Amino acid sequence: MSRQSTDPTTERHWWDELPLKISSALLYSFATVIAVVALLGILGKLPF
Amino acid sequence: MRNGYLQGQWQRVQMFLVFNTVALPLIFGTVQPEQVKLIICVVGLGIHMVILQATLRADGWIQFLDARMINLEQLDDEDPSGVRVKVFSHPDFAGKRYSWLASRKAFGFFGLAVSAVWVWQSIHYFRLLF
Repeated sequence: MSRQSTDPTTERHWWDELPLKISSALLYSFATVIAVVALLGILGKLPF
Repeated sequence: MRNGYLQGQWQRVQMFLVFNTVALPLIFGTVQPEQVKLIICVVGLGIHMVILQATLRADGWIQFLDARMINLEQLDDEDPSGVRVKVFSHPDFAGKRYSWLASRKAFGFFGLAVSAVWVWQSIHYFRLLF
């Protein structure tokens, strides 16, 4: 008896995308912090 | 295309490992001034996260291409003369490929753990200096 073929998208779990979501959040947070620091630096308003 | 993406993903993993093997000892094992270590931390954190993101995103493309390969294999499914060996549409394929034990999934969490080390060191040297 043959089994039904499996689509990879049906085999996904909630934690499959977790590292990518955390990594994206980290990357965009990092980019935002660098952009804000650069902007404050250009404006000469860095507190240090 | 799928094989290209798969190879690309593992090349990025190698890049990730080589980068961290070279860069992390620069913070932990040298007598550099703290200002230099802070710069290494910030630049290292940025490079690390870009490589990690590129590696993890490749998985989405491989998953997409797997689904297209299944479509391709099922094109002449009804035709009795189209007998062939199924690979991507085989019921065991997804179970093996998307198992929670797959090495690339462990890599994702390992990459995040290394990110935490970079963030910790960046904050540590920032607080030390300012």
